[in-house]
Amino acid sequence: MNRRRQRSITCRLLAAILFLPYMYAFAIPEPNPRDNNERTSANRVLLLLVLDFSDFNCPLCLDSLLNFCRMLPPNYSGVSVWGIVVNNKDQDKNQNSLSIQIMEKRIRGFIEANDIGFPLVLDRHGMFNRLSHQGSTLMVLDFKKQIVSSYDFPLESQEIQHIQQILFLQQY
Amino acid sequence: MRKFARIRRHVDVTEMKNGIALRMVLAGLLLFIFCSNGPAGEKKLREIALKEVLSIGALDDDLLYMWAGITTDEEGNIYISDAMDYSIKKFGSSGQLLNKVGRRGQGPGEFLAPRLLASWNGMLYATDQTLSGVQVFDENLIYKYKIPFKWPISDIKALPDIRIAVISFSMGRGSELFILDHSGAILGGLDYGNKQETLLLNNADLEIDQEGNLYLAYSFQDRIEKWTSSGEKIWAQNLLGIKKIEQKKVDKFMVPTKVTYKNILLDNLDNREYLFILSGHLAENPSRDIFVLNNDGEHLTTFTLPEASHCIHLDRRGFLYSRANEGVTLKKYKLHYVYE
Repeated sequence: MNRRRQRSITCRLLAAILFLPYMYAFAIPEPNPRDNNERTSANRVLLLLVLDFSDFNCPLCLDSLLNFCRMLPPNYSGVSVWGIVVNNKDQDKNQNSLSIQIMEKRIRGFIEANDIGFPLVLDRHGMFNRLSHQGSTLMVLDFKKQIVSSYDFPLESQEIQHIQQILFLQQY
Repeated sequence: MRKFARIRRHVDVTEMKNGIALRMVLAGLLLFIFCSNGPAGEKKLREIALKEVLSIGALDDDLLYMWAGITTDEEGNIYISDAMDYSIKKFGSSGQLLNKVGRRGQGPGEFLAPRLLASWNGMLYATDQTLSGVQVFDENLIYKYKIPFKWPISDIKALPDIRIAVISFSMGRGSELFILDHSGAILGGLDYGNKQETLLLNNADLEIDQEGNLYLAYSFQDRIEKWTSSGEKIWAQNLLGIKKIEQKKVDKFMVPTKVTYKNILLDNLDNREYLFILSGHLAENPSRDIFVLNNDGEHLTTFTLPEASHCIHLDRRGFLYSRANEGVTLKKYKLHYVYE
């Protein structure tokens, strides 16, 4: 996704975000705390984290990603998070079972060491490689599972604010 | 006169007999030296063979995820830094996990990217790629204190009297060797490289012998050097025949792209004095060939690891350690020396 398109999506998303509080204030009744629990995964916003495997060798690249993981709401209320690890650098290795086992072991270590609470799995067949051609990426999908926005890691402060707004709105 | 001549001839015959006996004794002695496993300085090393004796970390366990640094103590315990789970792990000499310390963070005993380890006399020194200074632990992995040091460290060696030697690099200053005490005070060092603008060009791996001589294997140049502790260069050697260093521009800096040598170690058990130098990207078997030199810099032989490794380590019992399965596994080998 090129920068112009991303900016366009971001602008539309920003407009939607700015409009949403009014919509929530006037059109939606008082939020019931139990609604969060009753909301099914089908009508949640989905955050799809496409993690480039080479970032595991880059502490600074992981920093932004882990900061993002920490800002996710407790128990992921109102939002579904899925993580896919792709290996763009060495695509031949995707077919090698030894390399797959090594990558899966590293992912296990990453999950355990960083208390990752959402599913994070290896894309064994390279199906998601195109989504992370410029490194690790975060995609926001709406209720219809359409991509509404995507962000490349490391996230900029403005992008973090956008995501936080989405997460905040999803909780109420 | 005749009597004198007879005596003279008798002396000559006796001397001749003694000479033959002496020569026979000498020949026998030489034969014994060449055929026996005596001191290494008196025989020519032909090859070194490896025999795997231990493997730590399998694909389906959770012992090692991506090990980075390694050191061993007098008892043969193995300390490994694991970059994936921000930890240091202590294993017994037969591979059992004894202890583990560390988590992600910047506080005492925490890491963001644990890397190099060194140990001496019950003290364990650990560096982090992104955090400054050197964290010090005891042999039970209990955090003791931090040695402050502001520049990045590319190699570390533990020395007697709670001192460490580090190779460090920074912009505009190039690479230098420093001797630090436990408070981080600089006690001495060696300004070994020519000041060049290219970042990392003088970066080197370090080894120190019992006399305090320094051995440097350059990371991005085809150069291995021996220096006295007072800063005089004794010899320089190149093994790959490479003159041109490949570099590329990253931002405004030219940086070398191919690693020539990764690691240098001294094998000084049983009166041996061999240097082991792990090759980088440019050898016939990249990151697997280990060049063996004597302490005069003469190349004796080369042996090859079964798998590429980012580093090698020799313990005080003569076992060699290297990486397997891209850092998920540590291999321990016994070395068999074959002489001509």
